[in-house]
Amino acid sequence: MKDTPFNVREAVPVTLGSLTLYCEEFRVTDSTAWFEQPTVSGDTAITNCCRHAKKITLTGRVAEEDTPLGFIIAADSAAGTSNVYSFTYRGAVFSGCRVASFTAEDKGGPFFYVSVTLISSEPVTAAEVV
Amino acid sequence: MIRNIIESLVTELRNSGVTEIYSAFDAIPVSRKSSGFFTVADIGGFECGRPIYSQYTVFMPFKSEVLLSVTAPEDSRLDRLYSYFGSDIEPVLLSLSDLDCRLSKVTVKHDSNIRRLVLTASFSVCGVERIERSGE
Repeated sequence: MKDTPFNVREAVPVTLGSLTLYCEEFRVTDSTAWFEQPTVSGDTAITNCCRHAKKITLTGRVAEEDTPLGFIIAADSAAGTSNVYSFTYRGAVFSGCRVASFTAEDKGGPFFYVSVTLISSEPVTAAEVV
Repeated sequence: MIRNIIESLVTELRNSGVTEIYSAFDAIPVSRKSSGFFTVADIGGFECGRPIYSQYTVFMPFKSEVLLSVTAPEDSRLDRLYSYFGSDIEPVLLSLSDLDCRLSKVTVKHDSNIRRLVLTASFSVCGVERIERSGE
């Protein structure tokens, strides 16, 4: 017996201070830099490492009605400060996040394409299940 | 939503003085419409985009093509049909044209089913349907 349920998924609201983005796409990148040194025999030895901060990109669309460009104003305000934010996305808690950059594109349609990139060095934890 | 799109354009044309215009959904037979020129508004295509969420509203972006079929008796001259379209219908459509909505195509043919000349103007529209969110 085949089961073909419809996928049910809504945009996830993420609040960063006065800015709420209904996140449709999400991306987190994390990397570690490993430092190498040559040995006297010509081999390679890893001598140190550096864990880079995570970059988290939240992407969505904003249909502006009463407050044109409200997203840009809120995002600009958040980007200009060193405020630290925490948020939960689909069960994962991201804390110690700072706004690194944001984009807002008006491509001529009835909405803006927006994204916010955050940077955090804090570990990701699982949200408490209530 | 489709009915609303048609009604919006029909209302714009009526407000601009076009009297003989009907929705394709009004179920009025051709025999009861004008014996001269009349126009029927129908939908040629409809596409609904992904919804955009906000706290209280879900926005449903859409694109559609409204087909305005301007018809004339089959024994009338084609230049009179063009002239009627150019003087009564086209200026209204051009006044509604912008980056999102525009007159995109005009075709002419003889429709043997209703025995009339038909000039079909395609008017591309896009917009957003607003749906209040409940329980938020």
